[in-house]
Amino acid sequence: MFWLLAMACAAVSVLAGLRWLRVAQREHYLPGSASTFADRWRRSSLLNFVLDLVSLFGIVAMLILDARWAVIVPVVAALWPIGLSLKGRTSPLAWTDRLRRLAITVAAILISAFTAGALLDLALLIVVPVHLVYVVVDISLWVLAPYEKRLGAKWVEKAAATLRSMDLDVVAITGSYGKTTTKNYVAHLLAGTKRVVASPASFNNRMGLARAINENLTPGTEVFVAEMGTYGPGEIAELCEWIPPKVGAIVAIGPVHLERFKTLENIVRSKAEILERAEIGVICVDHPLLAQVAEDRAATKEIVEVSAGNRIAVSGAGVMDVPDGVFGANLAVALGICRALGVDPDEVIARAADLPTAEHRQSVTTGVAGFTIIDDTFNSNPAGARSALELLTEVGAQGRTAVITPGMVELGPVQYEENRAFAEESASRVDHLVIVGRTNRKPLREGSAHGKASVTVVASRDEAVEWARANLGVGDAVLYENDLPDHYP
Amino acid sequence: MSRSAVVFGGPSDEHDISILTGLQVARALEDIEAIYWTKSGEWYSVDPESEAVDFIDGAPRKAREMAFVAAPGQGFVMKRKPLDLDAVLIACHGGPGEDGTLQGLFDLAGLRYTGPGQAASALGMDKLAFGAAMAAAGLPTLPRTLVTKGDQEAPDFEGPYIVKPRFGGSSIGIEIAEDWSTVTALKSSSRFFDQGAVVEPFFTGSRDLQVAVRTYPRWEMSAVEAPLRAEGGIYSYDQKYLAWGGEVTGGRELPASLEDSIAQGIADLSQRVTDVAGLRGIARIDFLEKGGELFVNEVNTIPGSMAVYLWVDPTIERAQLFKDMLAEAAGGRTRVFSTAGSDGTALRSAGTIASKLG
Repeated sequence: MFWLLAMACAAVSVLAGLRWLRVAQREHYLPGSASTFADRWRRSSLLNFVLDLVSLFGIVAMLILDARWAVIVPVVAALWPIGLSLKGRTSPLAWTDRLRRLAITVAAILISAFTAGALLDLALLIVVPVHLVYVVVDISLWVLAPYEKRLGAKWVEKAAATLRSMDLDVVAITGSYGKTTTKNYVAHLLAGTKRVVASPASFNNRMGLARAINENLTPGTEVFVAEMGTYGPGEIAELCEWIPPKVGAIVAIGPVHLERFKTLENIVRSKAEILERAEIGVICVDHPLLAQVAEDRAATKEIVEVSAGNRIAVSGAGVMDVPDGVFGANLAVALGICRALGVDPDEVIARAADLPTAEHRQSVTTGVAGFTIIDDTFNSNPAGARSALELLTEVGAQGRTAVITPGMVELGPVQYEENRAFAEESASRVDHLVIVGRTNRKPLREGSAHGKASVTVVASRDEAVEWARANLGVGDAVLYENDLPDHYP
Repeated sequence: MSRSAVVFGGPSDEHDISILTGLQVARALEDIEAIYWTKSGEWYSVDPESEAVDFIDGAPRKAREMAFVAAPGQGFVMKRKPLDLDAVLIACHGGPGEDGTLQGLFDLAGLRYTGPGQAASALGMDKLAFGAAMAAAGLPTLPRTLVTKGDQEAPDFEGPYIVKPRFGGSSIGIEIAEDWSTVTALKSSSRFFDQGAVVEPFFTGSRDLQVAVRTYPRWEMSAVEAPLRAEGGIYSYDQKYLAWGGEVTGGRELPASLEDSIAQGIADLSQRVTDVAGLRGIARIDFLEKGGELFVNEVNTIPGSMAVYLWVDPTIERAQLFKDMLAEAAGGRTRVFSTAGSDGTALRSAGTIASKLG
């Protein structure tokens, strides 16, 4: 009986382990992320909550009633949480070297526990790690973190040496959102006058930027545009140590990753680290907190203030209308960066006529069924969601309108309220609201309760697409607001 | 066991197009080593079955880093072991993969490669020198003048002008200028001209004719292509010309319907250009035709997609074209170094260096 249990647990832990390895990979190997997501899933549905309790009961019953109750644990672990698939739709497990190291560590911990359990005849050492596989994954992440950082140091040093050897200006861009678009705008505007290289789309952390420099920085480059993301204080300051920027720019501030930062002020402080080593700062002062930063720094540093209220304004350069289909604040910052680099914004403005459009960021297309689709699936911030809603009411003025969304995430304490507010506004202005998944189902439902829109709840993005095809036709318009990878409930 | 390789990418404006050419070659041929040259100049061995999107952010996930050692018997080195290659198909467009830099490097490592050698590659990439070489050989060509750094008198031909970067195999950076003052303004504002620019007359009412030639197993010429230039002059010409790489994305006539005299003229001139420019492998030659008169415009020694789409008459399969290129490359080195005359005599009779200093 004991050996049967041990073997069942070993087999199941492979299955469950893979599930949480995928979550860890999607969450950038952040220690603690597997447990955070386990908690999300536990609270996502009554079924998952009860199943988790049943497993716990199995352990307790094994201790005080009968050893056979332990069998419940591997049975539940094989399925739990229901909805978190082993092979992802949006993001399958990629067997990189890093993931292999993590998998080996997880396996080593589990095998040690199982062996110890078998030798000591202690079933607890076998069932608990299976019940808490995600904790084992988190422990492995935590154990490996210093090693991974050292391993990365080689590439970072190489990239730093490359940068030092090249005579170029670094432009560093940060912000809660709009970084990538701004970066693409800068690269496009400058491409006619300078040799520009921009870091690829999502390479905005230490390893990503090192890779971008090592692989993509062509000798002879005059301007390197680096997007810098941050998950916590000190991160951007560290990046700027080895990628010293000439120009540091802050695009926009909002409650993104608020659950890690706690307050908006912390976010501003972390983003403002980009100004420390920069010779010139470029700041979009439309947000009062950023206006404050600009004011505070003006005494000690050259600051180019830009704004994009109704028109785009760049201090020392002039004013212009926002071209159609362009994100005003992002273009304003991009022009401010040109000015900071000594390139006259008037000279590059002709190139603004064909700025690159960012994929999945309010890009408008017409689907095969004839209705208009606004794809804003890369967005997860309240301001962007509101402006996308605005766009929907404009393009969909002639027919019916629908919003399809799983809601926004990583907004910490304001996530519930922001989603509720977005649903409320949507429900008052469009005809249909389709809620995807469970992550934000409650606030979205609550917000839309008294609106004019019909409310539909679906389990997945695929089902939502089916709904749109079945219910919308020529002249109608749909907004896909945000998309959650499938490791979210 | 000895095998062939294809090299693509490189620190060039045409890096991405080169990846597409390289992957086409890798797919068409079996058992080939695919070597990716990053934008920053590093070398990676990649899966020949890779897709274009795998390269969007740099080297694909499973790429293995390599080094290059410019010493005999070395070349591409993986984990200290040199790859045993009988020939390398160079699929790099523009930049150092096409202008002789890579070719010189391969010469030093004793690698055999497709296309022209280092000197002919450099000539093909230098529009000023190429035009001058054609003119010196008596071939019809456009008056082409260097745009100098300082103040400059207008050349002795009339506008409108077409201004091109002096180096670079593609149409990137090409501008049309109505008058001379626009030309002088352009040279300071466009980054594409910081390595120098050339200017030539912009022929209205002319048409482009392009042909590919190959030098192995015998000299051969492809069908002639006439990219369709929309009516209405400069802007549309600009548009067509900016279609990246060799494959014109707009409309085209292939094979072009040509009067016999023009077809014959192109055949004769193509053969002469091959000799004068030292072409090897597959090259594309661009002509301008106006009122029955032909001008040699440019040559592309490593054309986009290796100009395989031009071989419709006679029809030659792309795999065959690539195999022939590799066979030609494997057959002999493009450059042989000589140390004749350095037999030690001068050293023996030299005495001490100190005595030379006195």
